[in-house]
Amino acid sequence: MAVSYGWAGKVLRVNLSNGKITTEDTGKYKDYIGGMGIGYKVLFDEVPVGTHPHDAKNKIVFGTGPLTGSGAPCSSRTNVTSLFPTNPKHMVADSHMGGNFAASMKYAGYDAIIVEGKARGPVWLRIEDDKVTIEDASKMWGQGIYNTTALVASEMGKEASIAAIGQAGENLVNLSVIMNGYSHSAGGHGSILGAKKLKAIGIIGTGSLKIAGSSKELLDTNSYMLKELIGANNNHVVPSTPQPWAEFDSKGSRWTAQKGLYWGAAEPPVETGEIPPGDITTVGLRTQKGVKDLGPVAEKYTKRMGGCQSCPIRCFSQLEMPQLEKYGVSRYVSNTCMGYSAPNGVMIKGTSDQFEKDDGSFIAKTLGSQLADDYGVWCNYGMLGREFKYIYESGKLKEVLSEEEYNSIPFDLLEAGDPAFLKDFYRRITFKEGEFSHLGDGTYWIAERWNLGDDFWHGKDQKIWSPLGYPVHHSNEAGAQVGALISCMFNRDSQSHTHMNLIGSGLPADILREVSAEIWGSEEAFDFPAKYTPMNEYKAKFAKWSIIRNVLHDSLTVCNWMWPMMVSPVKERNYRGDTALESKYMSIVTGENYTEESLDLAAERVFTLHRALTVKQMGTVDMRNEHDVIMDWVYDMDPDMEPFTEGTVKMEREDMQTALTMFYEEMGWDKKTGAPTKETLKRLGLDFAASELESMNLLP
Amino acid sequence: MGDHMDEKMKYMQEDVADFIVRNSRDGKIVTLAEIEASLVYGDEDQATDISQILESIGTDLDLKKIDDAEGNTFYYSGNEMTDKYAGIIIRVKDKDILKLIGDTVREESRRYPRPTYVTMFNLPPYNLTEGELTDMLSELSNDSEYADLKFTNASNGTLFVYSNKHMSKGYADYLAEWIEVGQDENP
Ligand code: SF4
Repeated sequence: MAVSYGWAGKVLRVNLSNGKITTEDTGKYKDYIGGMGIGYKVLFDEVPVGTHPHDAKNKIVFGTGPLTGSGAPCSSRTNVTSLFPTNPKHMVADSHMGGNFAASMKYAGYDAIIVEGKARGPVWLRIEDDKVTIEDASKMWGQGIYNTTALVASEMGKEASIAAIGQAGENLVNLSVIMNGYSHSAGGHGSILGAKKLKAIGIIGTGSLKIAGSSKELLDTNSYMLKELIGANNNHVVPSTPQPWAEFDSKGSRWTAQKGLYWGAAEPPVETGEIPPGDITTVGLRTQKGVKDLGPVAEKYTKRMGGCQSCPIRCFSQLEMPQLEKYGVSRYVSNTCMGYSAPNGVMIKGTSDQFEKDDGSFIAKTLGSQLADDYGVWCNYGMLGREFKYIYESGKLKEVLSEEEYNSIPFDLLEAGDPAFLKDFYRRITFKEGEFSHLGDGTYWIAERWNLGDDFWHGKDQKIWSPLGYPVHHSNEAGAQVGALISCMFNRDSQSHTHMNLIGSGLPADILREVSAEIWGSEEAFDFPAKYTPMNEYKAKFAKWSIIRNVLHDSLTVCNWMWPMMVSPVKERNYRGDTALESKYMSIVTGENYTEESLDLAAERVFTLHRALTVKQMGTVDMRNEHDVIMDWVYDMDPDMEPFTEGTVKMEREDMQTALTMFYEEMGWDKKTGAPTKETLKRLGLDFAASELESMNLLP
Repeated sequence: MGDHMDEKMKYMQEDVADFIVRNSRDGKIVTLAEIEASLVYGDEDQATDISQILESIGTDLDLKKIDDAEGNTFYYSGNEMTDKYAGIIIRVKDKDILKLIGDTVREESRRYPRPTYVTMFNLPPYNLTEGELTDMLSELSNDSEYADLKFTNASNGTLFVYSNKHMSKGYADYLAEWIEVGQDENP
C-alpha cells in the first residue's frame, strides 16, 4: 500500500556494519501511522529478544509521521525508538526531540531512518535529499555536542539540521542523549549511537511535503486552532495573573504573559503584554518560559523564546548571561523544563547567590544545562540528582568509593552551594571517571551495583515509580489512578502529558469535570487534585484515552506537550476544546477520511504492539506482577492519612489492582495478567504478533 | 451640513469606542466625564450628547455599565473586560476590601479548589500596597465574620489563605505546597 500525501513515502535504512544504504516504501507501516508506530514495528520484527542495547543487532529508529513538517502547529517532533539501556531488561522505549530535525527528514524525503549494525570507526551520516553518505567522524569523536554540531554544519552548511551525541554517548553512559539544534534532546538513547560509532546525523531536505487539501483549508484550520483552541505551553488556557479579559487565572500557569514582563535582553526589549485569545500573531509571546523555569532574575537575560519548527508556542527560553563565561561555558543558553531543573536538582545543598541576589539556582540551571547538553548527559527525569542526594546523605557514597576518590570530589563547593560543583559532577559521569561515574548507569543498575535496598527503592524522596528503575512523571499526583495507570504502562518514565495538560490547564474543577464527562462519559473520571475517590470505569477510560492520544501524537508526529486540544482559552466556547482536531488535520493533509475513532484505533494498535513487544521481551505474560508494579511509598506515604482523604495523593493497594483490572478490560487485555489476548491482537490487525507470542507460549 | 454632522458623529463614535476599549484593555473603567474629556473637538461638537453616542456604539464593543456605591456610573467594553474584573475594580473603589478578599478566597477555595496566595491582592485589579495587605490580613484574622479564613505557608515561605468551609487544613497545606513547589518539581 503506497502512501502519497502527508507521508514522504520512503524509509531510509542505513547499515553501519556493511555500509549498505537502502530505502523502502513507507506504505507497509501505514497502519501504524508513523513515528512511534514505525519504531515498535521495526523493533518487534527485527531485533531479537535478549539483544543488548549496545550490540550491533540492536536498531534505532528515528521516526516522523504524516503531519510532521506539514505546517500543522507543533509538528516537528522526532520519535526515537530503540532498546533502552537503563531498563533492567533492556526493553523497548522511546525518546523524543523537537527542533527542526523531524521536518528536515520529511523534506529530504524520509518518514523514518533505521540505523542498524555498528561502524568500525567513528562515522557521521550525511543526508542531502536522496544523497546519503557515511562520513568519517574521527575529528568529531571526543567532542561535545556543541562542537560536533558546528563541525557538521561547517561541512554541510548552516541550513543543515543536525543531531549528535556528546562524549557521554560515545562512552556508552546509559544516561545519555541524542540532541539536535543545540538543545532539543531525546533522553536515554545517546549510547545506542555511541555503540554504533555514529556521532551525528546531518540532514538537508530541499523537497516539500505533498498535501492533499488546499493550502486554504490548512491555513484556515491553523487559524482556527490558533484563535480558538491553543493556550500557552502545556495548553494552559488561563493567564498566571488576574487580567481584564480573563475570567480565570492560575499562578502555576505557563501563560505568563502580562503587562510589564519582558524579554529583557532583546534589542529593544520586548514586552509580552497581555495576550488574550484571538490574535494569531501574538501567541508566541504568551509563554515567557525563562521566568517560569528560571525565576524572575531571568527576565533581564532573556533574548527571546525558541522552539521547534512549526510551533507557535516556543517553550524554550534563549538567554544571554555573560557571567556564564566565568565557568568556561558559553554566555548563550537555550533550554526548557527538566533541561534546566535537573542540574539544579544535583545541587542538593541548595545554591548561594553568585553574581546578584537570588541568582543561585538560575546559575545552576543555566550552567548545568549547558554542561549536561554539551556532554550529552541525561537525567532520567530528575532521578540523577535524587540518586546523588541519596547516596551522599545516606553515607553510601563513602562506602562505595575509595577514600582517595571520595576526597577528590569537591564536596566543599557542593556544601557551599557553588554551582561550579556541576562541572566536576558531569565530567566524572561523562568520562566514566571512577566508581562515582556509575551514577550514569541509571537507577536499577546503581541499586544492583551498590546494593541499595528497600530504603532507596521505596523511599518517598527518591520518587522511584517502578522496579524497572524509572521515576514518577505525572503519576499518582496527576489525576489519581489515571496518572498512576499511565505511569505503569511504559518501559521508562511515562511521557504522556495528555492528562496533565487537562489537569494543569488552570480552569476551575467544575469546568474540568464537565469536560471530562463529555469526553469519558462521567464527571467521575476527574478527581479534584489530592481529593481522590476510589477507582471507577471512567478513570480507566481517561487513562486509556490519555495514553492512546500520547501514542497518536508521537506517531503523527505532533507535540504531546500541547496536544490534544481538550480545552480552550475562549469563554464563548465555554472553554471547550476540539478533540477531533488531529483527524481534521489528517484528513486535510492525506486526503483520506480520518475520524477521531479511526485514529484512536490506529494508536491503540501501536500501543498494544508496544505491550506485545514488552511481553515478548520480558518472556512472561504476567504484566500485572512483573511489569505494572508501583513502589511502596506511593501506598505508604502520609502515614497519618488514609487514602481518599483530602490532602493526600496516597494510593490504596487493592484499589490500584482494581484500577489495573479495569484498565486491562478497557484495552481488551487479559484481566488477570494484563497481557494482550489473541482476540485483541487480531482485532487490531496484529496477527503476526499473536502468532509469534503464541509460538513463544506468551499468550494469556 | 447634515452629511458633515453625520461624519462628525461617526468620528466621535469611533473615538469614544476606541477610548473605552483601550481603557478596558488597560484594566480601567471610565466615567462619562472621562469619556467627554477624551474628545478633542471644536465648540460646535461639545454640545453633542455623549449618552446618545454611547447608545449607538453599544453592541460593537459590548458596552457595559457598572455603578459604585455612590451611584457613579462607569463604562467598559465587555469584549475586553470581564464583569468579574470590573466588579473587583468597583469594590476596590468602594473600599469594600475586606469583604472582597473574603469573597474571593471563599470562591477560590470552593470552585478551583485552591488556597489563594495573598500577594495576589497586590496585583491589579486589587492593587493593595504591602502595608494595606498586611493590615487587611490582620483585620481578617480578628473579624468573626471571617472566622473560616485560615492561613498556611508553602515551604518556600509563600503565604496562602483559604476558607475552611470549603477545604480542610491538610488539603490547603497540600495544595499550597503543590502550587509553589510540587508543580515546578514535576514539569
Ligand atoms: S511546545 Fe515546546 S516542545 Fe512542543 S513543539 Fe512547541 S517548542 Fe517544541
